[in-house]
Amino acid sequence: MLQAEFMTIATHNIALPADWRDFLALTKPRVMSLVVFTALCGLLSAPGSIHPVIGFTAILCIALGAGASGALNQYYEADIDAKMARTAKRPLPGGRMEPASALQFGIGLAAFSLGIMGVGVNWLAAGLLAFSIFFYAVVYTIWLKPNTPQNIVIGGAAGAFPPVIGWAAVTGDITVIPMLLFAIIFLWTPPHFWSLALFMKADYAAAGIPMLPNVAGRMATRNQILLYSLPMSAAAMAPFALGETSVWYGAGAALLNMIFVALAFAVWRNQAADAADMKPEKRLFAFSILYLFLLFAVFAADRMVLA
Amino acid sequence: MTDGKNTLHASPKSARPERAPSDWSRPEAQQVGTVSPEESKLIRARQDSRSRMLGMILLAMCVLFFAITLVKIGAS
Repeated sequence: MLQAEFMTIATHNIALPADWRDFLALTKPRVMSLVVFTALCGLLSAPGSIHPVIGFTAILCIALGAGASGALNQYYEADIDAKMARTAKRPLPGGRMEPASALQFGIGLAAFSLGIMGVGVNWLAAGLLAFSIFFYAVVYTIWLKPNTPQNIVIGGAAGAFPPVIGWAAVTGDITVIPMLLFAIIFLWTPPHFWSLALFMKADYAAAGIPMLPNVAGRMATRNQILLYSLPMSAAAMAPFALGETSVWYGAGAALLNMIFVALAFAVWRNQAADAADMKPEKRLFAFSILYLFLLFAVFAADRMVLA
Repeated sequence: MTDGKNTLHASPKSARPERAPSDWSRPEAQQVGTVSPEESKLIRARQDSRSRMLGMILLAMCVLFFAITLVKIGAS
């Protein structure tokens, strides 16, 4: 529908070329920063060494792959984005770019990042990157997101791949540690997104996306947030329990877990139906981002010191 | 990020006659007389901005490929 609107506009007016900043916005730079950071932590915590140029190439390819996923996601969801206040000003719903440009940019970026990763780093990392782009752009965006309230549970796997790819870039294999890093992000994703979905419920409802609060209700969502925070905490402690890190990581992870679970408990106790009264949900959402940054930073620092 | 910059899409001043996209390739459809100097300047500025950015990215890629080649040759 959006494409048809653009064509109508274009026949009446002169199409102004999209600005390079709009192409940058297509890559979702904020999401990319978390992806790059977790990938870097995966790369730094892996045993063995990697030449700085190859390491930089691996991180760059992961960033470009994440950007490609974001561009393809925005291409497919332009009509949904137009209905949500949070996303209505993106380049496509904002009418600042042709949909075909976004599609070509996304496919080009994906092909470029995969090619360079394969030739410059290794083909296992390239294969994992290809799968994560496919999982996010096709499995999550096209299939899961519009069809099931479990969309971000299964779709969370796409965001959990970067540290595994970073690890694989160094070692060329996958062991239990990168799988634990995957599990931490995978189990972190539902509490993170459901806390957002609670206070953005109206936005998601307007767009027709079956997020858990819209389908199962607020209380069921709050129960799930608290439940998911427990195995997430266990996964975060697992590297220490398995003897792969020092007590410093164990203490740091325990402290972060306690804060996370306490905030999740506050969300569970909150009965508010109005977004303005959802301070616990907003606090959990904000802290969840800090949690992942700090946990991975402590993990990588601990592993580097141990090495 | 660039809200409001793409003013030409919503410009009510455009005098370009309504045509089907298939007509765009016809010579008469490529006349520049329908583009005002201000519009032309805006389009050129946007194209210049994109070209500069693309040039910098290509230059960075050349440097990166050269560095990767040196590392790979050194390793073998």
